[in-house]
Amino acid sequence: MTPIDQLTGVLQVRPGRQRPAALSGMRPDWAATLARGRAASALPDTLAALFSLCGQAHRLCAGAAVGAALGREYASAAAARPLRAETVREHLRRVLLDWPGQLAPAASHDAQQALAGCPAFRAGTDDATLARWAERHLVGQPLAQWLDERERDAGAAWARWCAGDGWLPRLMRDVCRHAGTPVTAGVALRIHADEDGVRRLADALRDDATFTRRPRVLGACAETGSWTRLNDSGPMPRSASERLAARVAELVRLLLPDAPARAGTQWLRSGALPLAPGEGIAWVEMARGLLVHHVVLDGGQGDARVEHCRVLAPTEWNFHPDGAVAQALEALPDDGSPDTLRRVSALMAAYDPCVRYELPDRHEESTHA
Amino acid sequence: MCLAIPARLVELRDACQAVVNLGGIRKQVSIELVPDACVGDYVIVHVGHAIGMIDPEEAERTLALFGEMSAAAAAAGAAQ
Repeated sequence: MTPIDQLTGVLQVRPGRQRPAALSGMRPDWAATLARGRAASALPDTLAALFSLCGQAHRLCAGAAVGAALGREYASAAAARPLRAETVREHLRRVLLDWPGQLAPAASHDAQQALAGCPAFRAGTDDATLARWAERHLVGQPLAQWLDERERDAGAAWARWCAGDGWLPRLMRDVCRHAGTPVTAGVALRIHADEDGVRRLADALRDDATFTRRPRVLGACAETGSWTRLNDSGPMPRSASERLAARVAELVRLLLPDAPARAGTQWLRSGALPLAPGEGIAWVEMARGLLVHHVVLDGGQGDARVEHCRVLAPTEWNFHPDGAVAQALEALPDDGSPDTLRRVSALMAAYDPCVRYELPDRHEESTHA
Repeated sequence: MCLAIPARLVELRDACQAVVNLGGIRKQVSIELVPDACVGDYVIVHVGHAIGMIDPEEAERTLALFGEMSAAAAAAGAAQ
């Protein structure tokens, strides 16, 4: 493990082993450590600098939690645009950089070409330019038509699209061959759907400092991702490939013009709740799933300092040692075969941990056992 | 991963390639996504690509946080 790994954490993945050995490792709770005693007004920038790849979501969430603690009204409309822009970029990084590398190296050349012309990473790009680029380089048809077809019959539309031309349909076709195995879904994490749920979450975060590392909802493990949005009323995906499909579908939704509860800046939701003077909680639906920040300040004024800050990120729900990924890993054979390794890659890409993962050497482990 | 150490660009090369200093280690990366990056700029690196530039002030803030984290981890290790 490198010094950087020691700071960020690494997941140890052992397909075919019984839980908790199937999935272990925990990342340090740096937000709690680094936030304590800082000026509340500096918390959004501090957490954005710490979690730089999804810094906008953390900045918005921390700002909303601090605002709630100070009794300020939360304006979700102001967060919608930056949240969408960052989520689009994150999804594009997965699709253009990670998936070809991890799932289908044959697609790397085409993905690289698409990436080179991708306007999402250039300043000042307008929505229409980005949508046209996606139609040409990712989806191969008008985005609105793609989404209409998916909403009519998701399974049939996906099968038809994967059978078509284009590097991304080819990649997904290839992935579906070894990632279509059913995965026992965890509870869909929609605890932010009502105030009672958010208050329950706040109680757990306030009373249990370890809750952010091993979260449960009503005693059960839950999963979160593009497929558990409040605006998504569809059934839970049944496999890793259906979760990858959910990410592509969300990317399409985000690139379309605004439509209430359906597309554009009106797809992802966020919210905040004052809990007591100096205490607030906020949540945002970010690229990997639901992000929650809970803060307690030493006062209710603008010069308050942070007494405690809890950050509950999607990775801790999805990669819980008893969660959906751990169960899926346990169900795989312990044979180290190329097929098993491909299925592991697809599973990890579908749930997308925000830390590195590694498969310990099976032979080395048995030698040392 | 969400935690990413800012890397300082130390050398520009042909074909959209550059060398960055990442925590004391020199590494060649693609700068296709940050074509305006110059020597001295800070970038965030992900799977061999510089995926975004960050302003020096924010980079310094992130590096300072990593310094605090390293110190805290060392203190925790010493206490065990």
